[in-house]
Amino acid sequence: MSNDPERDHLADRAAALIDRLAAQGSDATADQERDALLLDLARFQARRVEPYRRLLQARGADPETATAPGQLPAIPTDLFRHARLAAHPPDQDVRIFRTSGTTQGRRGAHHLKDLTLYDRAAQAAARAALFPDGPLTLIHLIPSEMEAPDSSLAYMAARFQDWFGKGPAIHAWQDDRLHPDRLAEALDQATAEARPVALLGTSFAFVQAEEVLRHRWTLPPGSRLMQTGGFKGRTREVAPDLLRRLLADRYGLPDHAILAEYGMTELSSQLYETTGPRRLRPPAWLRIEIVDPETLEPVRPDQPSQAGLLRIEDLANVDTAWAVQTSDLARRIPPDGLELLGRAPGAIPRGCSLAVEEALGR
Amino acid sequence: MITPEQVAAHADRLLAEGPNLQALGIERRIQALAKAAALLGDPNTDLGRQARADLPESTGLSRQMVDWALRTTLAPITPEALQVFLQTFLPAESAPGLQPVPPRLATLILAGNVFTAAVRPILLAFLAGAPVVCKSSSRSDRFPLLFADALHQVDPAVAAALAVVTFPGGTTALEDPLLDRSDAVLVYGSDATVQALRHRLPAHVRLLAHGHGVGAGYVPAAVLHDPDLSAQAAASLALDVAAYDQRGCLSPQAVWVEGGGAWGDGRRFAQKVQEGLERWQHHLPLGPISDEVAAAQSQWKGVLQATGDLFRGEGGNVAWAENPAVPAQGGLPWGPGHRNLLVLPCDGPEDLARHLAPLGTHLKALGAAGGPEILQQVAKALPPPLCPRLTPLGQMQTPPLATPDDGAPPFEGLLRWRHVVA
Repeated sequence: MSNDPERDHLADRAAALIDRLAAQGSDATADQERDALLLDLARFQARRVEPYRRLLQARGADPETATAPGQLPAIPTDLFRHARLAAHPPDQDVRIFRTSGTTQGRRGAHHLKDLTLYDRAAQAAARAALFPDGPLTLIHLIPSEMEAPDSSLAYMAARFQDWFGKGPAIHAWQDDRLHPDRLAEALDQATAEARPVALLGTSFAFVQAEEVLRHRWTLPPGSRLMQTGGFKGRTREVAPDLLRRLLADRYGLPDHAILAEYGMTELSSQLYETTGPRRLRPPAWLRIEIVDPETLEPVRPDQPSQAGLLRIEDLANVDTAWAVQTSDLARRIPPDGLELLGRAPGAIPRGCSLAVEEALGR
Repeated sequence: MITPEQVAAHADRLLAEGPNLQALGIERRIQALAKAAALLGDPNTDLGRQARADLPESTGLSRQMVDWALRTTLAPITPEALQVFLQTFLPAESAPGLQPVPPRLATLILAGNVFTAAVRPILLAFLAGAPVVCKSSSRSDRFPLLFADALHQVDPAVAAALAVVTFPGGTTALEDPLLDRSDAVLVYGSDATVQALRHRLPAHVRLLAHGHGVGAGYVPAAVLHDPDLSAQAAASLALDVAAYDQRGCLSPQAVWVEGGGAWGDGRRFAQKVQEGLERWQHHLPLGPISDEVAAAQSQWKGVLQATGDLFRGEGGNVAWAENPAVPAQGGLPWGPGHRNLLVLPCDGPEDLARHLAPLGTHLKALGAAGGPEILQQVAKALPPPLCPRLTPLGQMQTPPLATPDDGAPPFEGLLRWRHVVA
């Protein structure tokens, strides 16, 4: 418990609601409770997070009079690079997660006061999506927490090891590269012992593995694979469907056992794919909007599958940014899913102009 | 799609045209270029009308902006202007014993962001007596094709030395036949494009590279704190921002104002520039923006609303970042172009130079208010290797013919010199 009863009360409400939603799923009443708490988080952060207060003022938005969370602006992800977004002072940071980047000072920072809500949300979502049958041997194609202490992905994977790992962690990614021999050895062993495993990795790590591995495995039933993130220019880009087929073939996994995870440094919660049909399904404690890229207004209700930018409202982000505006294009897949669409097509060629940040960051 | 054999055939044909082009003589070439420019620049000719009908779709610029770009780029290309240009940079009487030798073939690789950028390198190559193959992507080939048409209409013999080929950038099988046959390659594109080409060129081939570029602006205190002068400066700067929808390498992305924090003058200036953009929106409307640009713009606007002051409108958005220490935690929040401008305070020319130094040779254009003395002060303060073109505000996007390219004289790299010691 901190010395901040207002904050602690909000965190307790968020924790209780996350637990309830994780256990029972959402319904109209639960959604109302969630939205009411999101509004309370917005009001709290409007008072405590100065850049958010300024954003509200600039947009003429007042959380005290808003009646629905969608009426209030979300914090653009870029703002995490340019301002401290926290309702607590720096000496109360227990962890700072940073976005990936090439130049010091240009990385976004998510300043967390405590990790319990993060853990609660991550554990609940992963249990449902990846570990419904209990613990598994985990093979990590993700940097270890020690190697990447400011990576939220590395943190999450390390917690998965704590919560869901059977036996010691197997790290097939270390020193910023794949160790295919370790991966192969772990897979050989698991196969020989008929021990199901969960492979957790970034998309580019899996693509690198595809480029060096020659053997194919048939992993034991119950095995899973979680892939996350983009390619970040580190490997060739592979379309999601093709990558999934390659992975299914390489590791002998059924299609439904290969799931994408969508998370970001700026959030405390994650989304996982589910199948039948395949879609990203947000956990019930997230409220999602698809918004017009220019106006940031929700896309037309009579066109629920219209593409727009993804806006995510996260109950677990009590101390930082209750609503985050991403630059990711997405569309809804009724009734409860999303499809990420990647970069917008038809972008005007940039040629020799602009891309100043790229020029400076080389 | 075009095949490597077809590309090679184009290049071989142009190699054969080189001696013919030179034999036609400089006067004929000058007349042909000027007439082609006039034909295309005139909205009342068939070709001029066709250009204005076709180019908005391929460029993403509004019809009015296309017209402005055509007129401002092509109208100055007169026989007299070309004569003066040649006399200045390629005088008939060079240093004793020096003979200019044009490339047998020049390959021009175009970017897609500013369609009129093709004009200058084609002019230079033809004035030098070199045939040109112009390589565009499908999004950027309309203008070179129109220019080739114009040249053909006025003088087919001169036009025979220009070919336009279209294929996606980075298609090495198609680029190689051009690179292997050229003595000079002029490339407009990203730094990555330039670097990739550099590695592939044979040692004897000269690369004239025009990579990433950005423009900036400066307003001294004497202008900023004078209501009339600052209004004029804001109006001029608005044109520099509006031109080409701020997508060009000469487009100002940020402007520094001296002592702007005092008395709110910097904030007022930012507001005036935005008002200028709203006025230009009536005459030179912004072209449609893609979802990618809209997303980047939303991010940028949010950052500046949270850390500064943002003046918004249909014509564009201008942000006053009074306390750049706040956004500068993550580096300056450069906008995505498309008429999104950042205004920042500074302490004068030396402080401006400190802010600009990290841009290096990417800084292509610097516009300043306050007259020739201010331009000289700023020029003196800039550290090497910065070599932008320094102009008054309002003239950043209309460079004259007689201007260096990226700090180099116009024909440098294109011509070799034979030295005959008598």
